[in-house]
Amino acid sequence: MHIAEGFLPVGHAVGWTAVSMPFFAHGIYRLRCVLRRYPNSRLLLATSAAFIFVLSALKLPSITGSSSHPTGVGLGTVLFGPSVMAPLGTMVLLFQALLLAHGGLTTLGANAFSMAIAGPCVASWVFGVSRKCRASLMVAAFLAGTMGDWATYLTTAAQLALAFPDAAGGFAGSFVKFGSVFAITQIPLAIVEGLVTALVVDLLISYSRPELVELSFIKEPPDEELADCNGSRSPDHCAPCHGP
Amino acid sequence: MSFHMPHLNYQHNRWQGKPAGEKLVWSGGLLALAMFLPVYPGCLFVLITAAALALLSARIGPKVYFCLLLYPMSFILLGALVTPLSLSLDGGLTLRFSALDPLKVLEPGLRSLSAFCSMILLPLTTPSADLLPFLNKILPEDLTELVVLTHRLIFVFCDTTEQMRQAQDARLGYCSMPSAYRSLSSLLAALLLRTLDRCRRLESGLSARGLGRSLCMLSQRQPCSPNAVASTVLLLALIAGLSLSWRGCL
Repeated sequence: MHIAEGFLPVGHAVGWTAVSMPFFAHGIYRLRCVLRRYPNSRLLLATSAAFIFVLSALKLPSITGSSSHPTGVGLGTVLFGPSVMAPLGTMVLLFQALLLAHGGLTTLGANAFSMAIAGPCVASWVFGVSRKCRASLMVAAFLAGTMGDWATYLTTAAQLALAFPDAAGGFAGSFVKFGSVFAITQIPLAIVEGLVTALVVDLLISYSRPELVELSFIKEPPDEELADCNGSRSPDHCAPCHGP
Repeated sequence: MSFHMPHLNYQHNRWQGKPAGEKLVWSGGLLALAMFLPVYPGCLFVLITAAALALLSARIGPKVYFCLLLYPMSFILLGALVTPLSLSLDGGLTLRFSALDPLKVLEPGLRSLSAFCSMILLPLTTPSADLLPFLNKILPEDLTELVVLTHRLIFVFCDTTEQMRQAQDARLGYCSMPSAYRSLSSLLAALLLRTLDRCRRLESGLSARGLGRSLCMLSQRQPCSPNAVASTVLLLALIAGLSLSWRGCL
């Protein structure tokens, strides 16, 4: 759930935009480098952004009987890295604000910080640590998707708590309040999103290898190894990199 | 599970022929007023003006307009429910209603609603092609290209998703919670693969036709009328003046 248009006081909206700006600028620089180096990845980047948009537009059934939206940052981070996700996620948020009425223009900075910066950073860190601990790609993608989602919503709760501190409990009290409200839907939802991320990564490795190799997500194995990967061996044998 | 993409009916509204710059002044001006004016009565005036412009002047369908309001309303209601609750961590965890003025509790919600109605005026009345010249001025060309491509793909994805969801629904794919999650996972995986394939074919087709790096779009660029912009600014200043004088700030 993104912060609605105009919900944050002006000072907070401007402050969060200023905090997000360096990440956004760095992301644009990285994105231009990727596009210059791999011109054909333009469609894959746009596809990923549009996929994140559709993912976040889908309503998932939750155990509380309500429905909520996944963030979709885990998949983008695993494929492209956290720096590229800053402009990509901000673009998705802009379209969400203009086409789906989720979020807004004044709260774009705050929403971008939670969904396009904090979430992807955590997802990337979790993915990297999981791979270093020799977790399989599926497990690492699941953890990245789940933790990225939780990080996004914890950041949103912190942003709302900073803007509207509790009369008695201050920031901590307000953070617990907003965090509890989000937790009802986000804990099960994040697990579902993690599962979906793992499934999609697995399918991409099986069927979209050329794009993943081009983006340096996986290294091009020697011919005989590639034959093994396409045959009896598991895709996990192909070493993944950490995005372009 | 449901999938709903609101149809922003910019093709069927009376502001269709209006220059994009003029609509941008209206939407941006009202948004700025919603953020900076005192909530009572400033945001109320902005809300009424934005709704009147959309429903009466631009003739946006009331059903489309109120459907779009549902999501921000749910966020605002959630905020209004949580804000008056006070959580104390001293001497154990206690939760009680704080003695806040009800009008004070509604302030962020009302400001948010008026800001949203101001913002949505632009996408409801303006096709994206008309906004591209403005986007080109603030973003690098590569990124604008990516934004345009993503915008196009979003609608391709949405159509494909809707068709796949209907097919799954017809086969009782969403009749229980476990089957809903299974159906959703397979829908997303199949969707990504299908659209990647479609993109690959699109890229090959466009390359074969000698397409360069950028996609050219035709748009009817109309210059802004200075009189119209001046009258809009005057009306916005009138709203600001009226709100401030009402509060005794002038």
